[in-house]
Amino acid sequence: VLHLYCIVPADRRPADLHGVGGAPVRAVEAGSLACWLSEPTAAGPVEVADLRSHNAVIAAAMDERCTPVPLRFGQSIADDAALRAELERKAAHWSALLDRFAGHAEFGVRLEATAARADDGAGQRAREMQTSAAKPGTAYLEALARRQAEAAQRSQAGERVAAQIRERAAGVIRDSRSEPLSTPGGLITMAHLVAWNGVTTYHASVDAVRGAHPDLRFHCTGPWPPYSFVSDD
Amino acid sequence: MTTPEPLHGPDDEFTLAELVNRVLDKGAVVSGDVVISVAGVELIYVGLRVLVSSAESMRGRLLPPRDS
Repeated sequence: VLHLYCIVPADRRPADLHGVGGAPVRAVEAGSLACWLSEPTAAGPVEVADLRSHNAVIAAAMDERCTPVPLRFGQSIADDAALRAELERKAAHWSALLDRFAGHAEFGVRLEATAARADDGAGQRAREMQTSAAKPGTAYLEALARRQAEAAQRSQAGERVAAQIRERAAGVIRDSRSEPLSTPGGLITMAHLVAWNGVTTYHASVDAVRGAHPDLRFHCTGPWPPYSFVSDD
Repeated sequence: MTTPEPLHGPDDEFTLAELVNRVLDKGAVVSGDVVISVAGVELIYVGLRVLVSSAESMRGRLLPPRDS
């Protein structure tokens, strides 16, 4: 059983690279493609360090000429022959993704309400629960409805900011994805596929939108391998 | 153009949450027939376990307490 990291053009080789559990990374080639993988080390609980190692191997395959197709953590396949067969079966799909990703990287923006704003919401809920204590069932349902309404409002607010970023950085964002956050105070997490030569413009655009929203915290991350853009949806 | 650095911003809990979200929930699957598991444990379970254990080990702040 092999641990899989990413799909790259066949000429891209891992150079003295170690992956999950410190195992050396090697490549299996199939036509114009290659998959980077390592032999599994002793089975044990998955650690955050393993996720970091997985990402670090894929990041090592990435530069301005090549952006790998990142594979989800936790996949395994029986042996080199089975992997080669799978690569050949969907070769056109992987090649199309590599062509699309070349010259680009993924960047993330995570939006959260400032701590004060998030606390206000929780405090208000607590007070409302106290005043309705005489009818606990009604209070519960009211609180539930209110929480759902607040989540919808946060999601909509997040979508509006996401649209502003997409609009401002339209020239350099090739593709984008977003998901609402369900954490307290969380609004939305966005992923943008950005051309390497547009990264400065992209960051300036995000900063400009950030400046217009002092009540929100912008957590910017990247460059990432394009995890969020491997599917067609 | 310079070679991009594989950096992901400040090493805080938000960056970790973004990492976990991408590495466990996004990314391509080589084949629908491949069993997605680690040490025989299905990925969805591993994902929860990683989230829970890492939340505890990473200053307990990856998953903020649920508001009730």
